[in-house]
Amino acid sequence: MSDDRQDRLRALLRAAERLADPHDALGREAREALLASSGLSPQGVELALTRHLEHRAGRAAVTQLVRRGPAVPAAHVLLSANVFVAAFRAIAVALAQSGRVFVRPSRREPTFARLLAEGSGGAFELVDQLSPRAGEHLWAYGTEETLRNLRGQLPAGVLFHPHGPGLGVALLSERGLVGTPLVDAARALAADVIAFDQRGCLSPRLVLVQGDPSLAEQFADALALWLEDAEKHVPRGRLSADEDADALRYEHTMAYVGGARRAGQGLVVVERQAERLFVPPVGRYLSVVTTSDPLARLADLGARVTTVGLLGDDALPGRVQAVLGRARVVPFGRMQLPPLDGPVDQRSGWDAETI
Amino acid sequence: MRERLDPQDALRPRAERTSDALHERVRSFAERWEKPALYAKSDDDTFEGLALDIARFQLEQSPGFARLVALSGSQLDTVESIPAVPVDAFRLSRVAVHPAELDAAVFRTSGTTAAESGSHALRTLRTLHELELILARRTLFSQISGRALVVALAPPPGHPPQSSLGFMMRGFMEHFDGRALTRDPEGTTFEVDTAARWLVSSSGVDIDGLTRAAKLARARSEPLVVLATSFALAGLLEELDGESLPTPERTFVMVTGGFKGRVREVPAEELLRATARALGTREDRILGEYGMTELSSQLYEAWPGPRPSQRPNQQGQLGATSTLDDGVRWNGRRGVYYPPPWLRVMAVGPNDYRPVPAGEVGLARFIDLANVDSAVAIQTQDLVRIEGEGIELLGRAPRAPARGCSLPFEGLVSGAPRRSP
Repeated sequence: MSDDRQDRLRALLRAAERLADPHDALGREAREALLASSGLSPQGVELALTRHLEHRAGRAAVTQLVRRGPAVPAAHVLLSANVFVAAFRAIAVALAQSGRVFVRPSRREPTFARLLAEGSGGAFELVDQLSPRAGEHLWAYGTEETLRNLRGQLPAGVLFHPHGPGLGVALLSERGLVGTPLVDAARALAADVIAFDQRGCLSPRLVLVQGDPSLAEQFADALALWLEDAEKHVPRGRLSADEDADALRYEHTMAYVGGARRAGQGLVVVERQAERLFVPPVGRYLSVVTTSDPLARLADLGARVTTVGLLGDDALPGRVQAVLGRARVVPFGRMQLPPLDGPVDQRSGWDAETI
Repeated sequence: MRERLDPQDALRPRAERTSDALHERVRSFAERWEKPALYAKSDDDTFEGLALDIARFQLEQSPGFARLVALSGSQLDTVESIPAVPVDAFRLSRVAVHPAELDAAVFRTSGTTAAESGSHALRTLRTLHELELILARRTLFSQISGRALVVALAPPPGHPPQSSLGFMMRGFMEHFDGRALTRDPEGTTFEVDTAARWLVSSSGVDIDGLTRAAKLARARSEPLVVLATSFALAGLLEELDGESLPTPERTFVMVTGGFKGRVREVPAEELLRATARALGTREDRILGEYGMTELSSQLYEAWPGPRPSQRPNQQGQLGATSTLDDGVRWNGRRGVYYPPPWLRVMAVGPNDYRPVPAGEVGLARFIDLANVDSAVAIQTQDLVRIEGEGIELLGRAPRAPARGCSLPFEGLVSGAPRRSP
């Protein structure tokens, strides 16, 4: 059984390799379809496929995934209209659990799952309706409302893995700048921001700065410059009508409030009030907040935080993890590059609720 | 109606004097609606002229508004071109053209958490107070010719007031009642903040207090006016559990506000029916009011049904000729609210903030002449449809599911604790 799971996972990996390859027919089809459905620019689609899709995960990563636990009778996956590469990991996690995997793609973004199914030679089955039974696992990705409704409809005995929305937070401590120039830190974080135009649940939206307020201003300036620069190489794509309305509202609000810097098509805003957390919309908008107690601010955000990008002293990662539990803690520039070690969102990890 | 020039006037900063002059023009504009005969045609300010003058004043005095004007590229040459300050700005910054030391009051919004609440600072309360009374005379109190006994299902607003609604309620108590709550108030001191008038506390609605007020109004043969929030009415109905209070025949109710962040929620129609039954009054004596802390003006529903003078009385005869002002609106439809002449409402598109075609749903944008010292134009996230001269309030816009797993905008605001309303 274990070998079967490994085989299927490797088939999925090969499909991802083909999708990442712009010269492969499957890769060309992906680029064309995703340009229409993802809202990203052509360069944004390319960046997602070549840098953020985990097609380079090695044999060891696959073996590790499968060894996480014994095979289960069946695993079901409900995909949301998520950042499209997330479908790969979501399906990989289910394949690591079972030789029988059923996937219901998002109605709004069905392409990537279909291409993975084609490229993997049917390592999993695409279905219109999921029917998990007692003892089977259901991995569901979506809004809190979707997950709540789903939970109420499942038959007893299903092992439910709900994965809701979240956000990434960057934490810059003055002490972290001893060995790293500020501009380099800003450049690394800008790379985390531009991926998926911030639609991912690991995407940084807030930057906590522990230090003098002038440090927040300097960092915001540097970040705005790098985002301006990134716009030339990977332009922001189209925003949906709702995203666009949020962006307009945020830009008008921040024009009045002050502290905003143009950053390509987005903004970097230095919060006027220290310690205040105001989550900006997606679309390359960042709020930079000065804080004397970043751990308390992370605690305020609590379970919403999926990942923390960190630049600080050596003791900080341990203290952050003590506050946030299983959120990922990584350096700037690695927030959108989690290893293929399980669900992207480690908050609930592999844990399941028994319905 | 110019005020006499204060000898100290010249010593005050120019901004204050400009603000005072604008306030005076706004008050005159409103008074002209109530007493047109007092004003000569040549002195007339137009809504457009006043709105643009206030916007230009705010452009000079407010760096935030100047940035917003620059962002929108507005020339401030039409009312439609005035960029509106989003209500979020009231949560995130001080929206005022004057320094905090000149605040006459700071009204707090009722955010779900203290961190989410915003504030609206006012340099003077006079314009707000006078305009509230002018409008109330044409709306809520338009069927009452003499005095009424006025109580509120709300907590007292404090000194200085922190609630714009409480401030308005207090103003109504002083102006339309103004007497002690005794059978013979002659010679007894009027206390507006007595607990006998503010009938909501942390322990709930004071039903005994409301019963006493109703009894007193009956004894005086006066109408009873109950000023209430929807939430407080829901609490009253729950406490009464189907019972009715013995109120005067002419009992009027002003109902305002929703149920944001509250545990219990009652549909508007059900609330209306149950309130009429519980307070022994007619549904057409219950009038909806709409206000926001960020505004200095209000909207009211029109009275349902025809004007009383055109309605047969109990003996089946037509009543006496109406002595009411012509500006009173009748035949209203529930849920449609009408602004006074000094407040204009536009429905704008959420993606460009441009007016939507008539009859289409858009976000409510208010141009409020009474907001001289804060923001003359306010952009809300509430959906409205323009219905003739009124607006239909449709609540918040439903959102399509997000195209990613990122936390939605507005998903969280937290920070340094502030005093809750």
